[in-house]
Amino acid sequence: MGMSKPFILCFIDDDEVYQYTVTRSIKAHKLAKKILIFGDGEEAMWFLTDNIANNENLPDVIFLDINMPIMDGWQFLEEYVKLKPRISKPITIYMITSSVDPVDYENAKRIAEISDYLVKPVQPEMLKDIIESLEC
Amino acid sequence: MLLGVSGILGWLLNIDVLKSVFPNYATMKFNTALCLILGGTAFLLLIKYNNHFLKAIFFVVTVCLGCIALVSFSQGVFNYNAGIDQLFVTDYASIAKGLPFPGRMSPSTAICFSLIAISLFGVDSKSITYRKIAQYLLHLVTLIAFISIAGYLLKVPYSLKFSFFSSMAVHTATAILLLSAAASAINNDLGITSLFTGTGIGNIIARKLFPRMIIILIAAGYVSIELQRKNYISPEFGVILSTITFLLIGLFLIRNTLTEMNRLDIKRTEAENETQQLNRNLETIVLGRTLALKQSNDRFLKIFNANPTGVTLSRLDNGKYADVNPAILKILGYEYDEMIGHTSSELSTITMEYREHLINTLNNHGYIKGDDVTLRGKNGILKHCIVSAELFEDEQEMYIMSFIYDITDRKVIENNLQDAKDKLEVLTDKLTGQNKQLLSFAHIISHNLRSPVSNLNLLMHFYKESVSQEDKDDLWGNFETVITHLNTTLDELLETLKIQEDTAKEREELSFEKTFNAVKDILIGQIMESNAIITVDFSKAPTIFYPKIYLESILMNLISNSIKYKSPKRTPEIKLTSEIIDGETVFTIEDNGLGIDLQRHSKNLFGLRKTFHRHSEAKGLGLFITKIQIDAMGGEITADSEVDKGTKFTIIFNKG
Repeated sequence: MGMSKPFILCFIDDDEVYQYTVTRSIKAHKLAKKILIFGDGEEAMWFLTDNIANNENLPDVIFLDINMPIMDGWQFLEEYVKLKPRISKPITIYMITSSVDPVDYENAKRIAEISDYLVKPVQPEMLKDIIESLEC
Repeated sequence: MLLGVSGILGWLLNIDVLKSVFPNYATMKFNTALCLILGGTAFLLLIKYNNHFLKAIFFVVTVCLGCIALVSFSQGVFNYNAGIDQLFVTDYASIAKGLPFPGRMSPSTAICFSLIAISLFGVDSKSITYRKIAQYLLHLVTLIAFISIAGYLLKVPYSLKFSFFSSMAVHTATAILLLSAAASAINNDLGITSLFTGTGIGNIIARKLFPRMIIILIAAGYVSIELQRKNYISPEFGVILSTITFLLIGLFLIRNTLTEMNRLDIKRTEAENETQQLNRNLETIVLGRTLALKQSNDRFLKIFNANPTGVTLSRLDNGKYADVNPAILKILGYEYDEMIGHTSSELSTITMEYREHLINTLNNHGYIKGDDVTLRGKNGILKHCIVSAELFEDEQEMYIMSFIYDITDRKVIENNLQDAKDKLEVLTDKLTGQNKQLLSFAHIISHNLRSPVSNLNLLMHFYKESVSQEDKDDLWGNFETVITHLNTTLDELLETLKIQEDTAKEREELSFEKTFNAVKDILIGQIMESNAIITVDFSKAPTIFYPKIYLESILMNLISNSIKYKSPKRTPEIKLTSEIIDGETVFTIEDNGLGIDLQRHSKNLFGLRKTFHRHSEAKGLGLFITKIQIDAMGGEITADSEVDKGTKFTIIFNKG
């Protein structure tokens, strides 16, 4: 088995089965050195706030779902924008959702923090491409 | 007057020829000249004056004239000297001749001027009697002056018993003759003057005959007298000669008159014929005009009677209807006689305010165009009309001509259209709402169905690649989760669809109390476990007309939510009330639970699978179903909440 990629990937999604499949895909392709899974935005926010000074714990990429209980993707972004000045590590955010609502797509395009908008199902190859693009 | 001026000049410059036309005849005295000027001035003033000042001057001048003349005359009669004869100039010539009263005007002149003065007043009198007297006095003056002139013409010797007349200078006589004749012409319808004025055939003949008669008679008299004087003929023969001459002249004049009269008669006949012809032409023209007028009138009547627009003709001064056309009778429902002679205020056709506005506008602008007015017809029937009006003059009477166009039907259609539009808007709102629901449905489906399906795909992929049984079992576990999830989602969607489908769910009279008790029985386990205290007050609105199953579902969801999201720090207290606000039944449920961060969640409060609490039982379904049920029945649900204080839901069941 070769070396895994040196990235910490973070998935914020309430779908347990999705959590399982994506973890499995990344492990199979050795795309990350560490995977962070959160069931909603609030949990993720707690983690970021707690580790704000520890760059080695912070994720390189966040894959964010829109529809979640407690704190959805948009609300998470609102909080993240407030938190961002205190974070020194560059974090790339991808919106990953099953929503095909064009309104959601338009909203996502308007937010600077979002690198791209991906529609589920996300194939392992897609994840691979994204992570490889980070290496360059 | 000119003669008077020349007379005065003669006296002032001592020119004899101006004093007396023929040497050795009587001279015009200075006073006479003065009187002539005064008389002439008075006459001019009399025919010209048009204000009080000139009238006053006329009065003064005439009085002066009268005074001078009367004083002069009285001197002769009473034989005294008033000292006015040579007041202005001295009559040296008369003194030289040794005449008794130098500078004195002759008695005939004096009497003439007196009479003229009196006449001038009479002429101006308003009384016909005075005017007649004045006229005949003037004729007398004319006669005296004429006799005097005739005396000169026939060379009656100065010494003969003619002195009363001959003492008047010839130019004085001429002037007096002219003045008196002119003055008599002012009232030319009186006395002898009336013979010569006027357009009657007699007057014409008189005018033509009289001067000729005078000339011929004087000429004949002159010849006869001269012949006798020269003793060519005896006085007897002279008389015969005169008579014959008179007869001949008379015959000649009669012949002349006859010719003249015949000529005039022919002229008159011609004129008569011409007049008749003119009359006939005029009749033709009038006939034509009458016909045209009748046609125009017929046309007007046709326009008036056949017009679908109502037309009324009412008097401007008293507002009474003078004429109305059938269209307005049809619009207002009156008979002709019920309107004619009545006013719009008597019939209450229009309001007093509108009539005032109408008259003001007509007086200021002359017309009114397209006013939107509600007219009141017979039995109070109301008609929406467009009214135009104009002022109209007929036989010196002012009328208001009004044109009334009935738009009641149009208004009804307009109102119907408005109603339809309003209903359409309501429908559109409803459809928009339904559309929103459909959209949220699309989202639900896309999110809640796409996710499990994509999960299934991935799991399948892994399963195919999997080599160990352990791994496959692990994957099976995940399959199960997804399938269960998918089943639940499908059930929920089906339930939602069912609610939205049967919006025509039957409503019935429901008691809040009874429904609450039924729900309480179902939830009794949770209530007892949580020690929740539930108070109710349905006294203000005890019942509601609503589908039973929905009301139960709504109460169930809301009460169980209040219990589910109770504060761990407090004993749950839940309060339910119903009341009527603005005619609508309003239901509220209030708790002291965890509360919801509305700033964060208000957008998703009633959405499917929206949960706001980290709670094992939070599925995000209760409020979603509740809202769908309330919306489906045309109601509204709103929330008011504060984190860690509590939540209050308000439901208006039938939102008007």
